[in-house]
Amino acid sequence: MDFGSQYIELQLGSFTLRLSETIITTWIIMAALIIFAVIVRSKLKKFEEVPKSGFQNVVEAMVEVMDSFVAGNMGDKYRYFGNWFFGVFAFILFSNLSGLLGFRAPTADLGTTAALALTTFVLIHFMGIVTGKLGYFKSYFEPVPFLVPLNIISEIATPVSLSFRLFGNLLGGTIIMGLVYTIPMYIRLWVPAFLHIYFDVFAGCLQTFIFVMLSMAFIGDKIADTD
Amino acid sequence: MNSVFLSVGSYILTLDSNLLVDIGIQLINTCILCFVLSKLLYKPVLNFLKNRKAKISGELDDAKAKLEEADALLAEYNKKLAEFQNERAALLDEANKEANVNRQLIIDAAKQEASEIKARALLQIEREQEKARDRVRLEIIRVGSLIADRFVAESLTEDRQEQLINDVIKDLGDVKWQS
Repeated sequence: MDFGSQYIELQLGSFTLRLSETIITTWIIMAALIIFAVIVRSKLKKFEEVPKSGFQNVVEAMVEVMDSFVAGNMGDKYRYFGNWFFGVFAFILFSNLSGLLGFRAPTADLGTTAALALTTFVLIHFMGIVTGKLGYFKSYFEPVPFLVPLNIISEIATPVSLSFRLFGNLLGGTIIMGLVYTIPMYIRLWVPAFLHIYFDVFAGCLQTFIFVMLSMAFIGDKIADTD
Repeated sequence: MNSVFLSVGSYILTLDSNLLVDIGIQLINTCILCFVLSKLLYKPVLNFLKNRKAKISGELDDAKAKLEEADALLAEYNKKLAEFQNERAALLDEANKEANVNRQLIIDAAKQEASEIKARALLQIEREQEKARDRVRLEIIRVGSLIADRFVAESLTEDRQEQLINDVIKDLGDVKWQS
């Protein structure tokens, strides 16, 4: 029974590359999303003032919801973060839902979730420095200077918790689904379908929402603290 | 660069250099995906929505401005209408007053004319009376003379005749005209 991500190792000169199922699935998801984006871009000129097609309604709703979500969490001034979080949200959501098509979710790999959490971590501290300048560094010495190590650990804990939360949830779902599929078909019947609804759809959407919302909240808090 | 296939396998979690490589690849993937989605989807659609919002807002403002303009025009028309009504009332009032004055003038002139006509008529009557009186007097004189002539011719002397004539004339002078 193998719940892991399959890989092949390639020797590229002196460098050994582990090309995993996670990376391949990520590329497939990226390709699907980019094709969708290209379709939207090509159809944008035909979009009407009053939407008549379901496609236009869906696209408008996606963008509008993300825009108001970012504005609500981070403030009007930082609406431009929607550009980033829209991509992250779409990627995590489609990664989590890819289990429905038989793929191993890329988010069930720490490499993916750590990369996503790292971007949040970078954004938190980049925005902290940009908005707070010296105040950002001072914040590490509060309330008393000897708590600096604890403050640093607390900052590092943020991406760790973000990445492991998503990774753990998705890996848990993947393992459980893998176990369920070991049960003979005449016994398991329709049970996997319901479990897919829970682990891939419900938990997948929920974890996507949690990751993006927490990222926004952490960045927004840092901006509010130092602004 | 030649690539050589080394091995296949699977992993759940590895904390080694491969994880760092995976993180790096996924970082690049995420950045590319976010950039492409932002350029092709998010930004254009958001701009479309913003433009539409601005257009609707502009149209609403335009409609509001036109409504205000219409209200102002209506108020101006109402004001002008009230002014016209006041002016009309003033004109009517003035015309009435003028008509009254004219009427009074006409009445006064008529009265004046009537009184003049009356005065002229009275004068005429008076003259006619005078004339009639003179005619009667002359007639009486003529009749008297006639009587006197006859009487003289029959019985009176010349003196007596003259005396009678004078008496008659004297008496005539005392007669009052009866209309």
